[in-house]
Amino acid sequence: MTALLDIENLSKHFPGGVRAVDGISFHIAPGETLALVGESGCGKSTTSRLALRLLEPTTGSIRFNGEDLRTLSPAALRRRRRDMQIVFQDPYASLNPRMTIGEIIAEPLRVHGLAPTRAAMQARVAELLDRVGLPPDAAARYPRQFSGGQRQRIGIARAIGPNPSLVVADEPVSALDVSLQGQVVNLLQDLQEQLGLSYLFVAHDLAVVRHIAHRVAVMYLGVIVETAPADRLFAAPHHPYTQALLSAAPEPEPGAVRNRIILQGEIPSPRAIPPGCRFHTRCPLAQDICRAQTPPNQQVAPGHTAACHFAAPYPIPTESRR
Amino acid sequence: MNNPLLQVEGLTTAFRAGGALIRPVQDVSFSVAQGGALGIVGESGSGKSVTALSILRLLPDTARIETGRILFDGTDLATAGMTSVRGRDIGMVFQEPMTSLNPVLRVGDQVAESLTLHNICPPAEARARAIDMLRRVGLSDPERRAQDYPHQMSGGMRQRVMIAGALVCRPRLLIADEPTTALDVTIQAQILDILRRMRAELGTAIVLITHDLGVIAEFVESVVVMYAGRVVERADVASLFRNPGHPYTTGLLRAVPRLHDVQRRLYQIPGNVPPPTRFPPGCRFAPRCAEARPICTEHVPPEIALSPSQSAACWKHTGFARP
Repeated sequence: MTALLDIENLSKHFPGGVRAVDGISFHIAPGETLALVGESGCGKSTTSRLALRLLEPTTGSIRFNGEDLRTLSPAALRRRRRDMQIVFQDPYASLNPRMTIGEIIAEPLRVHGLAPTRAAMQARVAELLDRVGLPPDAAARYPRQFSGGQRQRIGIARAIGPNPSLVVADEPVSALDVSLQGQVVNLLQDLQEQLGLSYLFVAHDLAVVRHIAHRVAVMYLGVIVETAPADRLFAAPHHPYTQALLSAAPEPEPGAVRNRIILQGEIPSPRAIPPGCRFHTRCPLAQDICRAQTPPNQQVAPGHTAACHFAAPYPIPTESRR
Repeated sequence: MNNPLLQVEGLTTAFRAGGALIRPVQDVSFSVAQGGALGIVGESGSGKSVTALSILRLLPDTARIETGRILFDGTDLATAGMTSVRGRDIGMVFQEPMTSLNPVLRVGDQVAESLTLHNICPPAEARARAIDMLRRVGLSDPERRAQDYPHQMSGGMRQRVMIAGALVCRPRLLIADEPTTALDVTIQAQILDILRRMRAELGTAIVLITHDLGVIAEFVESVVVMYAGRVVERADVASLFRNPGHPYTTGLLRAVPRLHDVQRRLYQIPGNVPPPTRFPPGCRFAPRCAEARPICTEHVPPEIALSPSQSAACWKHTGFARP
């Protein structure tokens, strides 16, 4: 099957020697959810903006439906954007407080000329509100009259309005209380089933990712260190960073036996990326080769790659855990 | 059982908000044993942070404690002279270390400040003790880092500095309000590890305020669950997770996404957390509760003891009848 989004060797360098994204490749199939996970500064949000060409990449290609977005003229890119929408993290900052919900949802429809008449527009807005579980009278109200969870639904209604095939969701539930996260995650899954959407789901919370992603790519300091189908990544992580990340998440099971890997030190600055493997400064397994040579992306199973000289299931032995 | 170290009894805190009075904390009671660890868990708007600020008497001018007593080691904090207790006997750590630290003061001086402020030791010794404490919270090269300003440090390092400052006077109680929420998960693991170690070394009791049930499960012995300004359940940590007594606790536990759960759909609690301006009458969770009966929306449920270490404020434990 051809990928809907195919990204190759993508990088984004900012002035001052910041290598925010440094040569990453991934693809997303139609109807698939790829989660991009990592800690702050790993480049996951920058990647989500590069994928839509909201940011200009330094190198690399972004193929969307086989067409390289980097070669498109500004006008052609604008037309293409109809197929690629985004949902932002902060439901408070991403909706214009002076527009009604109806105006907010109608805006992309108007920009792309998708509702020729006033009546058609109103009907489409009402249909979108219904799809995300908001009452029809929401259209006349303002963002401040809605809670965080409801605002995120509004953001989703705005994103799916133009019938996109890809939606980038950048930490869409991180700002929400846990009792509301389920509402938004389940809504995204329902919409995927109904509309055949593909998602690039950017998140730091691995437990949320577990519930929504088909595949997961783990980022560290501007590169992808491991990619695998979700079930495999959680069952048999091969990169020591993925292992550490999985073991660090506190689990709501009192008294559970834990094999916690506590990484020492801080995440290095993307301005001063360590040579060799970028993770070697914090890796409990680091050897001389890790300090000198960038590890190649090894295929450890079909669809499962890890960039580590010592990639193995559970590479970090139990005795070095706590 | 010995006298509790901290005892909060019937605390109600009111805020003036645009002419109206709102009560984000209402009739909250709990106690913390000497050297114990209590977790206060709740979502945004539950009143957990206002509870902490009320104990510390750090409320803004628009707020006041309406009713209730806060006893620290048997002494009412309202009469104790809070400035002599705060920072010396009660340390505190907040969520955002960047806004809690003074940006124009070297971090070593900030850690030493509470020692000199409370006349615990002369400045030279305070400095040495501050550096020692920075080492103990895991700051490498503490002599040199003590000269840094907060902006030169990462979020994780600033939180270590906050913890060092909170613990340098060897307080008997540490109040930590979402101490790891702003941090990445690998850094959170480091900070919780430090808090656990310091608690063992110094015998400090901890009130840990968080929205994260994972952190609760791993760190505390007893738990108070707050919803919309009220305590809905209190329990030892094992009972709370194994056998929750309040439908809100049950819902919260089911809603938490879990790493090793392969189910695609997440459990969702319907509706939204009400803001303090619109707390419903009766049980405040009733509008979102699948088990609610008419009595729930009319009368505030009393706290019903379920065992010596667990109680829940829910009418289902009285068979939906008033006692």
